[in-house]
Amino acid sequence: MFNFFSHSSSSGRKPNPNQAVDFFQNGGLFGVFRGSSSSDRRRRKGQYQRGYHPNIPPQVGYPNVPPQQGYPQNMQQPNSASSAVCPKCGASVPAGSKFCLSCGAPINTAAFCQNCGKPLPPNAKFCPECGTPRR
Amino acid sequence: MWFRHDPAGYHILSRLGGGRYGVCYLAENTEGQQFVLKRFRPRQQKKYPDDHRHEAVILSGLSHPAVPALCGIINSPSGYFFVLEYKKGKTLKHWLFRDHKVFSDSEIFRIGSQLFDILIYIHSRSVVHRDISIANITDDGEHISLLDFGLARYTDRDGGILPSLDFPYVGNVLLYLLCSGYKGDRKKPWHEVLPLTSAQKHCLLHMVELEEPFHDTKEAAEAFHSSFFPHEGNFPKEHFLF
Repeated sequence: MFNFFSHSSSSGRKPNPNQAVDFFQNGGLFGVFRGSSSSDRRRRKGQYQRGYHPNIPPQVGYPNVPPQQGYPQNMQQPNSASSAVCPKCGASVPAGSKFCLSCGAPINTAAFCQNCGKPLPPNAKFCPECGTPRR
Repeated sequence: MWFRHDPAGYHILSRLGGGRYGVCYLAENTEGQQFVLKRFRPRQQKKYPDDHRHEAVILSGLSHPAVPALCGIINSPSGYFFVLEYKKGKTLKHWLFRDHKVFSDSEIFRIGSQLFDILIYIHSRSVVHRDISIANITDDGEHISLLDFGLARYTDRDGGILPSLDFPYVGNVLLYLLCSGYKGDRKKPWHEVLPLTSAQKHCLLHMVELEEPFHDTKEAAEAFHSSFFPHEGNFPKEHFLF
């Protein structure tokens, strides 16, 4: 089903399906850089809409959604319950990371769910996502 | 000399590439082993302080020969670095636009099937890459590697982060490869001018979501495998992993 809000970056970016051919149509060195830059894909958002909905003219029927800057904002923020403490520097380390992100010290307690692959918080007996027991 | 002080324990050899996140360098440690040092731009780190956390956690949980392992983190006066496993080969972007390589049917099949093998693995670990592109895939002639998990996230159905987000990117990569030897009309849509079989055309249209998208990775992989298998020539079967 068509979603009017589908060009929000929080629902994921999608490439222009004609991007590869666009390069060959445009040609030139300029086309190389325009054709493969991630940030450029965001700037050319209007072309996404043409690519995915070829029968709908661009900028028609779309709400005026302010552009989102940077990465999507629906990230799972590490919090104290789901993070470990670095034994070397005392910094908070997100669950699952093999290294302290502050000092680089190896963290041996990193564990991942055997079933779904998501990181397990320290001391968790079950995966918070799928409920699989920790092994 | 790239920095006033080399990152601890590493000697930087060359610059491999860069992007919005920062710059990647080829470096070797004191034992002569080669690694990639991914240096984050300080400004980006200030602006998005949690971004590199996702990449570190996701790479910590992946173990696949085609995915670079996270080997360490360096926080030094010369910058903040991820130490990553070095994967040999040139990027598909380099093969296409610098070497002007024309990819044969069997090479496209090998790259595509290996790419789906990686996708099946990372999606089974609840990881969505979200930035699969010709610049993020290296090929050494036999094996590909998928790089740059900077935009990767764990699946989040409420937040709309689904494995199917990766399929249009894969379709786009395949289109780049299919266009590499194309010399005909460049004004019409690709699905009208590229010499594709009906099954190949529909597979790609599903993949880039111009037709109903695939429901899961296995379905997409099977559709690719059945439609792109090269019937001519003596294709070495060890190159595909299904």
